[in-house]
Amino acid sequence: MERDHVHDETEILRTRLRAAQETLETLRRDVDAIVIEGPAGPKVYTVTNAHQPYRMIVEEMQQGAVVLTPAGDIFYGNRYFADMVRVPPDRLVGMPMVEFVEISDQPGFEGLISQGAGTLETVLRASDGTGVPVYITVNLFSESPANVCLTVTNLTEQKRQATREAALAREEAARAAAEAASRAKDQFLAMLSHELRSPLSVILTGVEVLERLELPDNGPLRIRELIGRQARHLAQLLDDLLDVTRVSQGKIDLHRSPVDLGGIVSSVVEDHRGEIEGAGHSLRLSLPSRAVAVDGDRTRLLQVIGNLLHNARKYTARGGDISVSLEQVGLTAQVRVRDTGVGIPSEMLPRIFDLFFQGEPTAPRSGGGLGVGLTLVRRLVELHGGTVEAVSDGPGRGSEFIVRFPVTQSPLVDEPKEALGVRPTALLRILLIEDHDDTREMVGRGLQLLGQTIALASDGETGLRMALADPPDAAVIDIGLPGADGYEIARRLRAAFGERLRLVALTGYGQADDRRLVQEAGFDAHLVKPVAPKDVLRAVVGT
Amino acid sequence: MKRAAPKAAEQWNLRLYVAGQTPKCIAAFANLKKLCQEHLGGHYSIEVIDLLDKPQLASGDQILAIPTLVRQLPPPLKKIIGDLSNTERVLVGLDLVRKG
Repeated sequence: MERDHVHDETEILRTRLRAAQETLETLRRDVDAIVIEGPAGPKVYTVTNAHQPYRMIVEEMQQGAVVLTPAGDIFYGNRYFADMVRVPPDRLVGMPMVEFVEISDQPGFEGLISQGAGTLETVLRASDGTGVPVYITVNLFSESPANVCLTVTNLTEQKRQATREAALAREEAARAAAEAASRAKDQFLAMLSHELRSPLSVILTGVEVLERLELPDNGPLRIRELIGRQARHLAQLLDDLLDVTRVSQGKIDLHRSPVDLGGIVSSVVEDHRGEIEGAGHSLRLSLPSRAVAVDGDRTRLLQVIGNLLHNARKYTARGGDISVSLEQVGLTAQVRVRDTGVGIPSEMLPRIFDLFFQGEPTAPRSGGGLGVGLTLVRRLVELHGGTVEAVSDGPGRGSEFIVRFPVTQSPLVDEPKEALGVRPTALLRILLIEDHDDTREMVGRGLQLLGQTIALASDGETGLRMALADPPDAAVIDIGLPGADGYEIARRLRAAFGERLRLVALTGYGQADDRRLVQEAGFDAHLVKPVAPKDVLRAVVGT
Repeated sequence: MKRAAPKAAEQWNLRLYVAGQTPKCIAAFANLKKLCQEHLGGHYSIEVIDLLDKPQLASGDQILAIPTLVRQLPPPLKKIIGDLSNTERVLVGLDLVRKG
């Protein structure tokens, strides 16, 4: 009985043991997690490796990840961190983290560790002493004991990018400065030409006045002609310089209309004929029988052809041949100016239209100049939608300039009649208000010689009193007067005399703004200094 | 408690089996390092084996629970389970002090 009982109990225990073993086996083989009831509720324990993907991510990511012991030793560092500090990953374990932090940042870093939170930008000191700029984030991941983990972001690339951007910004600033300098240079040139032009115009006016005072003796006459010629030449150079800077600043507006290019070419040729034949050259002109119409600014086209012809004469030794031709090829008008002069070396051909570029100074009759003329030619031609090309067989073999413009189908506008060389003008009483003594003197004398009656005033108030005492037919007023300026004086004169008084403004610069102000002040006409007396008279008469 | 100072130049090789970066594993490592610094001078090495990385290494030292500290050298081989926070028990277990 007793034995049976024992036997039975043994069997029961064996069965239970088998069941327990089977459960254990099942647990080992077939489950991922088990649930254990504890005083704080159920807890889930994973059997298989639930966080395997996260471990892989942390190990592979391009950012440092570090787990520290409460003492601040490294318990785990991922591969990226190991690479940054240049220590094999398995050797990291147990190393004090603080030793990798830049010395000056160590107290701050230890503060973050004890707080268990925060961020720090510092330099990681690798085992070989190299520095890696980093951004460290500290996070507490268990409270008690307090364990922290770090993420360590490598800032090397970011810093490099910042450096590149800074370099780029410096480059940009340098370029802006260079552009500003270039603009300043243009402005300087414009100012220079303007400043030089003013006294020169006074000289020219003086010469003109001298020419009209018929002096008996031949000597002064020749000197006078010499002064006149040279001063006119200087004035031409300055005008070109001024125009070039205006074109490059986009300040030249073309006043375009359909014009006959043949008429323009022949008038330029006739203007230069005396000068060219006087230098012993032969001059030939060949024009088509029909008009060739282009949409152009008559004055500027005259300037283009004139400059080319001037160059042809200048760079050709005495006794050369100069020819000018115009033909229409399809829808293109083609002007050729050809000479038998010094020619152009082929290596210089591409550069001769550049500003301030000149042919070799040793070339015979190179004759100085600023190297502005051809630049102006090209810019003006391009403003007209045309092209200019230089051709030469080489030094000593002459050169040819070919200008091409698109022809226009629009009907031609009548050419203006040659206005007022000195057209007989009725005697007018003109009040000139100008504070610049020489200009007032010369323009006044010039107008007198043109047969007009002149009253002169050097400031606005005086001018106003004179006008009220003895009303003129016209008043020519400088804008930049001391005291009440020209606009103010014009308004008051207009108020006093109404429309029967003609008002002409003189300004230093032909700026668009000036023109608007001039119109608003009630002026009838506007002249930009320097001015010749006959221009003033033309404006006064209103032609 | 009598201190059994290790013989001069006697090398201690210790192995700590851990599973990832659990708080008890970190605590075990921190406690062990502190204890070694205090009692073993420079004559020790600690090898941390992460069984999540290399589970096959569990069978070598017949590891049943984590963390477990194994004294490889000096012989005989000894094992201590837990986070090693009870310093006295650890010192006894490692034969660094004798009871009494």
